[in-house]
Amino acid sequence: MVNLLSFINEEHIIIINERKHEAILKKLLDACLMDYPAEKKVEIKRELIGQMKDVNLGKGYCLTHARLDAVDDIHVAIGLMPKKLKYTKGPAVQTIFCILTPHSKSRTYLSFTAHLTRMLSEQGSRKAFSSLDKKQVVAFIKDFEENS
Amino acid sequence: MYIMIIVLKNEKLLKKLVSTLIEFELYDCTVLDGEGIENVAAQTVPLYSAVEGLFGKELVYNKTCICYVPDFDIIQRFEKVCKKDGIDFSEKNTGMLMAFPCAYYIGPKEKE
Repeated sequence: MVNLLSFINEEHIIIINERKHEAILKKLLDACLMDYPAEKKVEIKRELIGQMKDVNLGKGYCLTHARLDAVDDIHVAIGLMPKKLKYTKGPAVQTIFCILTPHSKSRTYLSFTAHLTRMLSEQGSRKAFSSLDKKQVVAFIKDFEENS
Repeated sequence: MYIMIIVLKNEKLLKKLVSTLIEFELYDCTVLDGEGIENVAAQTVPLYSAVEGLFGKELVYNKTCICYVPDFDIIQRFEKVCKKDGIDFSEKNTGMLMAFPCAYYIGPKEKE
């Protein structure tokens, strides 16, 4: 089973105060691609225009994702917002998971999302993610991984 | 290596089951449409058909999942997660899970 902590650490969790879709997505992509050199980052972002798809998971969670071969592995960023926002179709969201995956990791990505959605349905997830405390979020994920 | 067979009688649980199989990276799982022996008997043997009509029993269908699992502890963890998610194979109408060692296997083993 995939371990969420293989893809998520404190650096990938950001607080988002922006309220516009484009600005939020830009910030998430910057966090997602933080390990790439600036030029490569610009190239990837250009390729991603219009490709990101939003999936409203309900209960304040949203997934925005794309598959592209310009990345070499699955990259994840988590955006925590102080207030709920009508980010995409469906209920307002407060936490956004931004995920980029190469086609070669499609299966791992499927497992990742299955595991992620189960974690989000656990008791205490909403409390952890709406706390805006990166340490608390990581501790919640760690606890889930150790006890699930 | 083990072969795991799941006969899911309660098809309402299929979505959860498939999601859990994917979560456990059991990508080469095959899902088949199944039918209970009573159904088949009622459809093929006239005597059973008459009895079936007398009791007005509902037809029983299922989904059967077959996959190979690298280690036994994965099966145990899988069963535990299923139970937590409401797929309790010890309950009467859920179905059954069985596993046995695989003596011979040729096929892909890679996850991707």
